[in-house]
Amino acid sequence: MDRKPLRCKLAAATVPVLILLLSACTRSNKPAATAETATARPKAGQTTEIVKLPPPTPQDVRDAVARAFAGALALTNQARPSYSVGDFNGDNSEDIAVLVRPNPARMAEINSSSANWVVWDPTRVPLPKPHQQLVRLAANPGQEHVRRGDLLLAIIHGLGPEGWRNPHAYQTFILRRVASRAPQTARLPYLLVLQPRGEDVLPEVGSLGMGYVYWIGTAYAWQPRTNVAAAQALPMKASKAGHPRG
Amino acid sequence: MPKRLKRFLPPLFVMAAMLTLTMMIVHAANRSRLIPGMGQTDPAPAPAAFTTVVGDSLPFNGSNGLTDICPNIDSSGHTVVPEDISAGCANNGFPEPPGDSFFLDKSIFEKQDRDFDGLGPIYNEKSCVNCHQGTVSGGWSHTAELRAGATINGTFVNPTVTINYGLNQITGRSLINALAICSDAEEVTPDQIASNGQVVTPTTTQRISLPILGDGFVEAIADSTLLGIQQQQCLSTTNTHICGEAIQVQILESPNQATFAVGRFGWKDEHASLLSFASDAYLNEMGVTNRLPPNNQEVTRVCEVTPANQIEDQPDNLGLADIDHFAVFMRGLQAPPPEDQEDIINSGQGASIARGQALFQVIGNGNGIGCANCHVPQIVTAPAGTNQGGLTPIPDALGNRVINPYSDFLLHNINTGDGIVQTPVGPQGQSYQDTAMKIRTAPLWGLHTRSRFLHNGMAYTLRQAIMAHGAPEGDVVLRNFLALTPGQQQDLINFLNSL
Repeated sequence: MDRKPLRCKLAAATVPVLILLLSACTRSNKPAATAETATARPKAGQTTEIVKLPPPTPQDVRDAVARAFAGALALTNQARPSYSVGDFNGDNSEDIAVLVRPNPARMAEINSSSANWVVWDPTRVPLPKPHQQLVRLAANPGQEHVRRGDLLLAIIHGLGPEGWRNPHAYQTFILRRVASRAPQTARLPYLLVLQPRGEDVLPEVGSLGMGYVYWIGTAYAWQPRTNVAAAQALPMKASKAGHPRG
Repeated sequence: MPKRLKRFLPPLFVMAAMLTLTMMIVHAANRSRLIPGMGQTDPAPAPAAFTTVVGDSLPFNGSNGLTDICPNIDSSGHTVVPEDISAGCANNGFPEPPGDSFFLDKSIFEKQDRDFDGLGPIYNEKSCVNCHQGTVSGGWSHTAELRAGATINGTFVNPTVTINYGLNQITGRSLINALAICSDAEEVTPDQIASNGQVVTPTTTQRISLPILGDGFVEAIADSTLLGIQQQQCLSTTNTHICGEAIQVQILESPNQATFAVGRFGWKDEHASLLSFASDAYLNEMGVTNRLPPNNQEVTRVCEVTPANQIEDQPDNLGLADIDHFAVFMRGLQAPPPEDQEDIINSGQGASIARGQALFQVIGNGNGIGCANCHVPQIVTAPAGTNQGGLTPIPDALGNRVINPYSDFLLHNINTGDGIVQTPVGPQGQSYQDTAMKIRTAPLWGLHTRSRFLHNGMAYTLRQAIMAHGAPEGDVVLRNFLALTPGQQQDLINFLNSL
């Protein structure tokens, strides 16, 4: 019997098996890479124009609040919800702010540390004063709590072109001490400290008087209207080129 | 043995040998991929401990039992780091320059400068430790500094700050200092920024100072490792839209300042070398000029008490300037350790933390929801002896070390950006204007010692920090988090609290 050809056949059969084994094992421990390149995907920093959406109907607002807050919040007026839409966080996706009250039967859930929303008091965000640019942060105040009967501003951040109507739009905030009437949206041409971009803001009557509620990149802050007016009144300084630094 | 079977033995033996060889190759390949930057030999864990108790009065070799210089030098000149360095060593084994000591570096890091030392005219703090002291010297901060600027026609413009009754202007930087050695020099954020005929409202932001513990190991990460992580993110089809940006930044101490490396320090990845970082911070945070351009020039000389055209940070009798001591101190700091294992066991949360760790993994890995796509749990530093950024060469103490930073040190847009650009262009003139809305992935090591989160400290709980993750790069992971049961969410938070 001729042994040599058999050995050759076995060896020839082994090589492709090993190659297959090698390639299979190599792929097993990392996400499958495809021919798709980094540049072929939408770039992370790329922005698109905000999509103009039809004005919300009362039913749209009711549905959105019910979905995002799972019935824990009640609209102040079921028939005609008080709301305002705009791009509050500057991501080119439409957001909504709705005037609400806590559902008294759901207080524990609203204030639960595992609730899928952030309860926040914008008036407690420390703002730098003109001569106090370095802010010493106070001790961590911990989680804010909603009280029974509070008038609140519920905010749903939009996601993608569908905005706040997107069923996956679950980045939500419940703002305390800044709501007292129907929310409005404005785009202010003058200074709001810590506003990273020219987002829409919410002129509101807060517990500290008239002011503006606005996004600071990570949360909502509140600034009295008097501060804004005073800043607006300052004279403009001339610009001069300098060497790059800092 | 039957004759027929004997015939098959040699090829079977060959096949078995090849299979064994293949498995060995695959095993090695997988290991090097799981731990990017792996060197020739098995990497050792980086020492991690809180050893730098704040205060000049506590000497090492003192009552706390810590030794200033732990590592020994062997006959071939290599640093030998003890196995259990955290048991009695203050530093991580980074070799000190002749005559220097970790304690001396620490005391200079904690020294309170005065105006005749070079402090000011404008500054934020009198000492490094004032902004880096959470738990220990070099730790996290409870202060937030202010930056301002504006994007006009797609280009970021720094503010022009007028001081001294309109007689002087400060330009070319986004930082607005809080303090001055005289009232004439005090900065106030301008209400408007003008450029190319346009006048706009400035963007302003607060930023808390970053911890610097373990940064010597971060400096020793090879550029290729960070770029490899980036490539894996951007090519992945499972982690929708997550694609970090690595920017090339100047090594200020390199010859002719011609060397660039992948940025990894600061909220905007504006530095790749700890000496460059120290030089920048000494001028811009404390007002002390030092030898590395552009930080050899005062921001302003209004009220200045030191002589003009003189570098304020002069070398001491060891030939080391303060920035050298700062850099050596940072390079010698141990990594922040995770929560004490005994405490975890005693708390009864061990099982929950283990479940949370599984949820933390990359998308596609078991139940992973994707945190680890950016908060990379484990990285291996470049081999000792190689050159990386400001480390030329990387010493034994920092090379080939496993670290657990829980960061990719890349810039991402999770819609928490602050609108500030600190590195407008790269070495080939490429624009980095898109970094305005990006922030470096926050390293999560030492998280259990921190009580405020995100760049402006405006998240009081870990849950709030998670909830701030938005589009375009953070929304999928947030959605995955919110889809977890309350128990699973708590497992994840327990895991984070254990870091």
